[in-house]
Amino acid sequence: MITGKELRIISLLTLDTVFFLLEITIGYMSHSLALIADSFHMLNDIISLLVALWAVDVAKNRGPDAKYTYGWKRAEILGALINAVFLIALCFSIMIEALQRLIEPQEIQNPRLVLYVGVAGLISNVVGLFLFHDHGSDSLHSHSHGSVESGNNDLDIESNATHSHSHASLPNDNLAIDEDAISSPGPSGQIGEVLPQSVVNRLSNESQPLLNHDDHDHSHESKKPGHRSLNMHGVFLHVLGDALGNIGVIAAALFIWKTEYSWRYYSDPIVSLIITIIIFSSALPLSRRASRILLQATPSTISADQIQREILAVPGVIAVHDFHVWNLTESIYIASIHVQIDCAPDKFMSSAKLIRKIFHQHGIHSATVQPEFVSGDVNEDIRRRFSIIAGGSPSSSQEAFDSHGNTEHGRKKRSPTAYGATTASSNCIVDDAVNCNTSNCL
Amino acid sequence: MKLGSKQVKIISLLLLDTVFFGIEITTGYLSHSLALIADSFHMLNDIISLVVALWAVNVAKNRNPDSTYTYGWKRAEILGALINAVFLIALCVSILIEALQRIIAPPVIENPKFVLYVGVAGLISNTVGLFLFHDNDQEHGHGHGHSHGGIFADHEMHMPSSHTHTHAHVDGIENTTPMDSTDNISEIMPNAIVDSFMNENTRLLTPENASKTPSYSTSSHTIASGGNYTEHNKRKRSLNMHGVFLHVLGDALGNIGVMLSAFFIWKTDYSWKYYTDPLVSLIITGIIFSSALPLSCKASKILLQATPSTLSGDQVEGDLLKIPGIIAIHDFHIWNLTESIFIASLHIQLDISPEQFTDLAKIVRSKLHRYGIHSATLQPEFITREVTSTERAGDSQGDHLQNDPLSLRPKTYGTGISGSTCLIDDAANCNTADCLEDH
Repeated sequence: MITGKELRIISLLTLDTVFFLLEITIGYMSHSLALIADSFHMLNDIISLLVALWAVDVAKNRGPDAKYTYGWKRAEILGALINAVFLIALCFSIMIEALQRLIEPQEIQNPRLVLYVGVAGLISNVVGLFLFHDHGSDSLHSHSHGSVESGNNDLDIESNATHSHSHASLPNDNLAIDEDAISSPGPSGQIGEVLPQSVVNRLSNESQPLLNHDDHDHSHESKKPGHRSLNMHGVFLHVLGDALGNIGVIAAALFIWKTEYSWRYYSDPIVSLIITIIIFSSALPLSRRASRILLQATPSTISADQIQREILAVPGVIAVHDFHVWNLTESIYIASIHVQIDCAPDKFMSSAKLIRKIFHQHGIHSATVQPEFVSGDVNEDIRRRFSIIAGGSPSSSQEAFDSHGNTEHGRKKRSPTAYGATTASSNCIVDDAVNCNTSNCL
Repeated sequence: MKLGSKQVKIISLLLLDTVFFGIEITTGYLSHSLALIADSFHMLNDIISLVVALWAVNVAKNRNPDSTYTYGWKRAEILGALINAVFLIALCVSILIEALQRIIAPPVIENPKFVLYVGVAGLISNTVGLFLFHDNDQEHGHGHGHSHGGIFADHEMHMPSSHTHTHAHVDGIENTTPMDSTDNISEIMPNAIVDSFMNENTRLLTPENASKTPSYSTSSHTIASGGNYTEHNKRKRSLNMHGVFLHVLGDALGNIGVMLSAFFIWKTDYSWKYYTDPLVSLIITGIIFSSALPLSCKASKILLQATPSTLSGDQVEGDLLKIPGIIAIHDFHIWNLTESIFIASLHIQLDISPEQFTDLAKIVRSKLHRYGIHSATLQPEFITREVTSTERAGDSQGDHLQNDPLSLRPKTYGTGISGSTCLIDDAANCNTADCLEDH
C-alpha cells in the first residue's frame, strides 16, 4: 500500500530522474558545461527525495522490536534534519561558487541556451511544487496565521467530516464530571468533553499525520496530506530552492543577453547569493525544529513545570524526580517520572490513575510512572536491605542512610532536580537501595 | 569556567584554521589566485565544522536539565556528529560533481609549482589538527582503565560464585563506559560526594583478592589484555570528536591529493596529465564518504532511540521475566541518551502485593545495572485478586491475564496501544493509539 506521501515523492523522483538523464545526455553531446552543471544540481534533489522516501517508508512499515523499541517513527524527523543540513551545505557551496565568480566573473558564452535550460528546469520544479502544494500551502498558512487559527480550521474540517465532534469545555479539576466522561460512549465525544478548547485544537492538529488506516481516514488525509510533517517540509524546501535557482538563472541570462552594461556578468553571482540567503533562512528553522525533537526537548506546547505542579497536588504525592517529557514524533509525546508517595502501597493504582489523567490532559498518551513509597515501614526495610547490598557494617550504612534521610527532607521542597537522570544527590529510594545511578556508575 | 580538554582541542584547531584561512584568502586575493581562494573556502568548511562541534561540547557540558530540556543537552554531541557527517557527505557530493566536470572539460593548470606549495602548507596545518585529536583517544583509554577495576569489583561482590554471572560480567563491563576522568567528577559533584565515591571504590576493590575462582582468573586475564582496552576504546569514543577528526582527515587527504597531482602535472608531459587532478579528487571523495556514512549511521541510530548495539532487548526481557512475581512486561524501551548513557523504561505486571514492589524493584534495577543501564523507570501493575477487586469491576479480567501471560509477549515493545492491556492506561482510558487516532 503506497500512501499519498510515498506516491508524491515517487512521482517527483521519477520526473527528476528523467530530467537528470535528459540534461546530462544533451549536455555531454553538446559539450555544454552549463547543462551538465544543472543536471548535477538535479542529482542533489534526487538524493534528497531518496532520503525522504526512506524515512516515510521505514516510519510506516517497521514496527517496534527488540532493536528499535520505539519503532522507526522518528525516521521522518531524522530525514528532515538530514535534508535540512544537506540543503545548508549546498547553500554554502553555491555561496562559495558565487563569491569566486564575483572575484573573477566568467563570461557566459551562450546566454540563450542557459535561458532555455532555466525555463525547462523551472517547468520541472513547478510540477514538483504543485505535487507538494497542499503541504506547502498548509505550512505557509500555519506560519502566517498562528496555531490557534490553524487549529480552528482543522476543527471545522473535523466537524464536517464527523458531525459528532463536541466542543464543550469543562474545568480540569472537576473530577466528578471527568469520571462521568470516561464512562460515556463515543471516544470523540469523550475527548471533547474532557479537554479544554485549546487542548482539543492541538490534538486535532497533531492527529493529522497518524491517519493511515481506513477509508474514512484516507479521505480525511487527502484534504490535509502531511500536515506539519517536517520530512515533507524538507523536500518542499529542496524543490523551492531549485525553482528559485531556475528563476535566478533565467533572470541573469536575460539580463546578460539583452543588455550591454560592462558589469552585466556580475548579475549571475549576485542573484545566486540572494537565492542562497532565501533558502538558508528556510532551512535553518527546519533544522532547529528537527534538532529540538532529536535532543528530546520538551514539546513546545507543554510546560513541564505546570505538569509537575499538578502532580504534586495529587493527594499522597510528596516529591517528583527523574521527570522527562519529550516528542517521539511531531505528534507523539512520551513521559517518564518517579514519584515519591506517602501512602500505603495498595493506594498506588489510585494515585497512578490521577497522574495518568494529568498527562492525558496535556496531550501525553504514553507514560511510565515509578512509585517510591516512603512510609515508615518501608524505610526500615530499605535500611536493612541497603545494609546487605552495600556489604558494609551496619553502623556505616546507618550513617549513610541518615545522610540520605537529611537529603530527603530537603527534597520535599520543590527543587530543580525533578528533571535530569538520577544522580547521587536526588535520593531515589530504589536507586539508593541498589546503589546505582547515572552519575556514580558512569 | 574551566575549559574541558575537548574544548581546548577544538578551540586550538579553530584558531589555527582561522589564521590559515585569513592568510590564504588575503594572499589569494592580492595575487588573483583562484587556487588559493578555493582552498581557503575549503578551510572555511572546517571552521564551520569546528564551530558546530564546539557548540555541541559546550552545551552538553554546561547546560543542566530544566523544564524545557528534561534530559539536559547531553545529546547535543550526537546531534553535532550527525550534522558534521551530513555536511561532510554533502561536501563529498560537491567535490564529486566538480571532479566529474573537470573530467569532461579539464582546465589547464597554470602554475603547478604554486599549487604544490599551497598543498604542503595545508598539509602541515591539517597534520597539526590530526595530532591534536590523536591524543584524545589515548587519554580516553586511560580513563577507561581506571574505572574498569571498580566496576568489576562491584559485580564480583554481588555474585561471587556464579559462573553464568561471571560471563555476564564481561558483557556488562563491555557495556559500561567510565567517566572520562576524575576531574570531570570533581566538576560535577561537591567534594564530599567525590570523597565518598572514592572511598566506595576503595572498599569495593577489597573483595577482589578474597574471591579467586578459575572463572574469575580467566575474566581477569581477558580484561587485562591491551587489545580489549583498545577495542573498547574505539567503540565508545565520542561521535562528535570523531566527526571533527573526519573533517580534518578529509582535508589532509585533500592536501596530499593536490600535492600529488600538482607534482605529476609539473614533472611529466603526458597528454593526459591534466586528468590526474579530478581522478585524485574522486578517490579522496570515496575514502571520506566511506568514513562519514558509518558515522552518520551510528549517530542516526542513537537519535532514533534504537536499543544500544551492545544489548539485546530480548535477552534483557527474558532475564527480567525470570524474577519471581513478574508476569509480563510491556511498553519496554531501552535507548542511548549519549554513546555511554543507557536509559530504560518499562511497565511490569506483577502478581505480588503492592508492599513487595520496592523489593522487587531493587532486583529489577540490579539486573538492569548489570547490563549497563543506570537510569530506569519502572511502572508496576498489580493484578492480584485483592487489587483487582478494588480497582476494576471484572474479576474475570484478572483471571484472564493470569492465565495468558505469554499472549502479551509480542507486545513488549512500542508505546501503549488499546490491545496491550496496561492496567493504568485502562483505568485512565488513555493510550497512544486511541488518543491520537480519534481526531
